[in-house]
Amino acid sequence: MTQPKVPVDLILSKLAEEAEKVQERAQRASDVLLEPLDTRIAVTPYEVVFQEDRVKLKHYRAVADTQVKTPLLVVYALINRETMLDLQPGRSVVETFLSHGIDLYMIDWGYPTRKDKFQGFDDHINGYMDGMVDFIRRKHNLEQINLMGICMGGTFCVIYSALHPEKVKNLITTVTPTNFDTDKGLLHIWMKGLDPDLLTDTYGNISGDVMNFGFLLLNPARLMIDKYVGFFEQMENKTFVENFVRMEKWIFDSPDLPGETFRQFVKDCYQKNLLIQNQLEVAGKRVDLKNITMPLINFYGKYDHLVPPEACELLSRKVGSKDVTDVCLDTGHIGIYVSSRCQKEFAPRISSWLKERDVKKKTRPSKKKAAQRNIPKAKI
Amino acid sequence: MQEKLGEMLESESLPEDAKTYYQMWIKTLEGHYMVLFKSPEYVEILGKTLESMSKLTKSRNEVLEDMLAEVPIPKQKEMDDLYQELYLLKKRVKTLEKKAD
Repeated sequence: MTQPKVPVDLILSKLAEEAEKVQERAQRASDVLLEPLDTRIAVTPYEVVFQEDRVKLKHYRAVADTQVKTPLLVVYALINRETMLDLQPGRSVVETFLSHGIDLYMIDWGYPTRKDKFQGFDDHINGYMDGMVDFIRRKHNLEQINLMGICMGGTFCVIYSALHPEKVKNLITTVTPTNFDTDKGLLHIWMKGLDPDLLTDTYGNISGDVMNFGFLLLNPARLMIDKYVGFFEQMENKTFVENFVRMEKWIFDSPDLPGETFRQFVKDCYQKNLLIQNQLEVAGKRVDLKNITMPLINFYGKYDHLVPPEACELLSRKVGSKDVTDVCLDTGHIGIYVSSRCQKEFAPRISSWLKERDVKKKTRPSKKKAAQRNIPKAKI
Repeated sequence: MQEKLGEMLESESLPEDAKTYYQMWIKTLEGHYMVLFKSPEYVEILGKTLESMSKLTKSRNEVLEDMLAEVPIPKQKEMDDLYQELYLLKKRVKTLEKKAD
């Protein structure tokens, strides 16, 4: 019987070839890495038009004629930062919205400190979010605005729309977990074994760095090894290096999560799955998803390992709205916003969906009455 | 990985490119991590580790606060009490402002 042959010679000669290429690449890479790199993120111009405590409301400067009269408020998660929507020129959800004539506002949750550890769902949803929605409604003399949520920010938007449906014209949820009773994502499995009371009582807020480490642990082979191997393979490509650094900057810019919000999110959502069962209570009020009667478009990623489709797709069947669209994109949690393919499938689709539903503009009853209302004192 | 390589060796389809071996390794490693992380044993140990770490931190903080009791500096517990009062007061003001609006 003949022994199958291992092509050792071939493998070694290929390795030697590769070693030569690596040397050449390292030389070219040093040229790239030593010259100035543009790694700025979130460069689209905006103004802070409202501020309450650490939370700011950004209003982006229009670059095209307004095509959607109702302004859009984007609510990001409390984990990581909203800069992800404007990570790099040419691949920016913010840029696309502006070029499609959307009047765009975005919440910047800031960096919670220890004094914010008591802030829970009520403070963020009925407090900061509601204050900002009211500010935009007053400014534009409108009864309702469009609302778009991202990940945990989407969960906040769902809760907000159920509690204040009269203020929301159209609701857009993107990679938004609402059904937590699934074992498809590791987070859903891990969260069930945590003691959120002990963690929040001990640490106050949950450290952004610790959460980041947890996210890396979700897929260490890809996120701690393969990603950097990929970088070494392409580090002579200046554009690639710039975009890689931009992404790293965003990933490791992680604010702490207010302890009470963490406690409620883990206990009421991940462990008890109250939201989708209409049993969640915020400030003593039950969150009834049937109150969501406005048009809803629900985006999620087929390969999302943080918020799997099973965590998102149930929402559309639970709301009271008859105008509901589910969109499953062939991508992951972040790819939906930054991948080149999704640049055509995501933000432009939202723009056209909003335009179709923007025909009837609801105005406030009278300008006089609106003017009588005080603009919040914390305004900048 | 070894099993896979053994099968390839037998069918004489071993790759010649080192990168292919690397990609096979990463994919296998990813799969093993996924199995490990999803296992009830891992979830239980993770929960227990975090619990133990929290208890240790809590006890350490309590000991430190006890040791610093006589030093004229505010302790974290005192600051937390203040933060809570501030939080509740701000919330009350906000509610009243909304009502007045």
